[in-house]
Amino acid sequence: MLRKKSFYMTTMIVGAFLIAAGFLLKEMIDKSIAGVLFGIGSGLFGMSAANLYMKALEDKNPDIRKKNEIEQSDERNTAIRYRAKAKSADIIQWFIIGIGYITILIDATLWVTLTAVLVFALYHVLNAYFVNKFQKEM
Amino acid sequence: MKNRLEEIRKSRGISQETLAADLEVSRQTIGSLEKGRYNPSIILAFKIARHFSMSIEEIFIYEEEK
Repeated sequence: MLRKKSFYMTTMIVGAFLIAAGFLLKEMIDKSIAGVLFGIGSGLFGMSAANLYMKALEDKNPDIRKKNEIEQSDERNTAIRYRAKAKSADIIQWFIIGIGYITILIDATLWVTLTAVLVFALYHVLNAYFVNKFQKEM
Repeated sequence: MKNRLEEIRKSRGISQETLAADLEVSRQTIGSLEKGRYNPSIILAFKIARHFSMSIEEIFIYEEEK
C-alpha cells in the first residue's frame, strides 16, 4: 500500500542529500562510509521516485488504484505473501549458519563467525517471540 | 473442501472478473476458489454466500476425511 506523496517527497530529498553528502565528502571521510552514503541515498532516491510515479499513475487512473488496493488486501495474496516470507526466512537461516561454518573453514576473524551465529540465534529468538505474541493475540 | 461456486456463478451469468470486483478480491482468488485450490476465510465465505443470497452450506461442502 502506497503512503502519502509528502512521505515519498521527504525520502527523495533525504536520498538526494545522502548522495550529495557521499559525493562531496568522499575526500574528507572514509571511502567505505562515502560508499554507504551513496548506496543508501541512491536506493532511497530510486525507491521514492518509483513510488511517486506509481502514485501519479494511480491519481490519473482511479481504476488502477482500486485494482492495486484489491491486489494488496486480497486475502489469498496476503496468505501467499506471508507464506513466501516464512519459507524464505526458513531457507535463509540455513544459509546463515552455512556462512558461519564457511567463515570457520576459511579461518576468518572471530567477529565474522560470531556475527553469523548471532544472526542465526536472533532468527530463533524473534521466532519464539512472535510465536508467543501471536498465541496471545489469536 | 468442495464448493459449487463455479456452477452458481455461471448459472447467474456472472463473469469471474465481475464477481471478483463485487467481492473486492482478485480474479485469481475466484479462480482458485472454483478449482478448490484455496479455501476462503470465514469472512469471504460469508461475503460469497450473502452475494448470492444463499447459506454457506449451500455453496461450500465440507466432507470429513476418512
